[in-house]
Amino acid sequence: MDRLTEPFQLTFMQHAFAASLLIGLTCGVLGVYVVLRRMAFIGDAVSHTVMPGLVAAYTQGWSLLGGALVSGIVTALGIGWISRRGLVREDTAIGVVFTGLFALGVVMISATKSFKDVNNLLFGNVLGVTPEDVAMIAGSALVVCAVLALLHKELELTSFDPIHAQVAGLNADVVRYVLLFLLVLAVVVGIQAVGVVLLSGLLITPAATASLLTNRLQRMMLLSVVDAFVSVTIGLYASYYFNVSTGGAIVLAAAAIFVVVSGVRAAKSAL
Amino acid sequence: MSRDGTWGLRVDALTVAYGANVALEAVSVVCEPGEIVGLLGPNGSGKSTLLKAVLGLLPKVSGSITLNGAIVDRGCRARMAYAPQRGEVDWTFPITVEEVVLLGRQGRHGLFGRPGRADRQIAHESLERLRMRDFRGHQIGALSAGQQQRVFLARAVAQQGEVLLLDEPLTGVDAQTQVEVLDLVDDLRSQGLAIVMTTHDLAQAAQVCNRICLLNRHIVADGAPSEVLTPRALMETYGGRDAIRFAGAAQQEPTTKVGRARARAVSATQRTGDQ
Repeated sequence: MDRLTEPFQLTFMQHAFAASLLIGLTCGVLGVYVVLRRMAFIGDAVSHTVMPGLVAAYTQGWSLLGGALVSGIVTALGIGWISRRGLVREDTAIGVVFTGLFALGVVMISATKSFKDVNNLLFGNVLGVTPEDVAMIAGSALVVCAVLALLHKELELTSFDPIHAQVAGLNADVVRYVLLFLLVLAVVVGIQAVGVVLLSGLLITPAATASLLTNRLQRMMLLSVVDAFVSVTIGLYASYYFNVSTGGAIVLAAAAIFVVVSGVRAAKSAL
Repeated sequence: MSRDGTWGLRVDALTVAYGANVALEAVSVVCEPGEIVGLLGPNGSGKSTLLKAVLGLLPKVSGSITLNGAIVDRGCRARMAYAPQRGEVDWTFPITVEEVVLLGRQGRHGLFGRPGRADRQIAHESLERLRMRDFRGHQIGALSAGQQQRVFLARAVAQQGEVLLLDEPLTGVDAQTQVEVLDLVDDLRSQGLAIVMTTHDLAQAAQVCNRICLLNRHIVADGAPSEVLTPRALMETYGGRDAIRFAGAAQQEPTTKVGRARARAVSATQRTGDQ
């Protein structure tokens, strides 16, 4: 029992735990829409393309959120612009923009001297979050959950039957851009826990696991959040006791849960 | 409600183009309340394009679309119910039958608007009418194709529109379900809806449609099934070999209730004529 409570005697671990749970909440809820709308690839892309904005913000001391948002908007517009005439398919356009902007981020990193900070961007450093960070993460979690709750019907309709949505006067593009904006928010908070490289693991894997367990949207979101909570908790303990990368341990835990659940599902349907 | 009147859905000299490709050229179609108009034509003939243009999903180059004499605009489209082609819906999305039907009420509540108790009541009644109430808690993807088609018809009923547009309601469902769907559509017609339906299936279309439009970018023929389904018009619409196959299909025994009723009426008239 002491081994379970021991890490929480430390203030930085308390902050890390609070931040991780809020990040789990944000990514768990949003991830369900990312998975259902088959946006896993663009989710991964956005998490990488925010790099140049983050590096610029980091080195110049600007707001990380602002830097990431600018990069995220450039990504969304860039993908739309490249694929607009149908000359290049959208997934190809995403691939081009995603690697192009990530490469820009890498080049910008190599031009700076501060590799330690950059390492935090790439792989996360939830043990280093400040109370201000926790407040920002809480704010972002609130925005993501509130917007998803308010736009529930609109998201449902545009995801399930986009043509009917258009007929009902809903602009599917606007809904899509709102989701991309939320994705950027989730990325900005999520990189504190797992970093840019592994972010889509936290965004997609718990939601994918949940989608194996239920076909009710609300239940799927709940299970996805619970899965994300379990994963971040395992990750935190693992990094405390075994001195391994927190982000790596979190995503590994999420992946392990996915493997177990899909194994059980497969075994059940085989019987 | 005369043909020259302004009642019902009227498409007048509609031209639609995708870039330089003209998909529809000066197409005129009228569908009055209590009428089923079948749109027939080969793949790429512009059937779905016509429905989408009516729904305002595609910009028109020229022509006009009116409902009861008023130009169809955004507000007006809420009165048009639409059942999409099977491929246009994400069947894996976690949504229940009841929620799908409630989406039919969504057009009436703008952004952030939520369906209330009255909407739920209407949704339940619609499900009841299509004998799908027992399935209201089921996920849409878990139903059979025929049940899914019923759910979309229930949504169309819940929308309480005046016009019902059905895109390929008979495609991808078995023969038994086709008959059920057509009888349901005919039932809705008798309630006074103006129904436009695209289909590949000439034999089935001939049974329920009051009028048939043969479409191949322009209107090849427009009239009662018996007038329109002539070898010559079919040849012009579909080209040689298919036309012969289709013409044969049009002679098949009726399978739907309405089809059988009409066949009985026709043979009764013939008998009376013989005497």
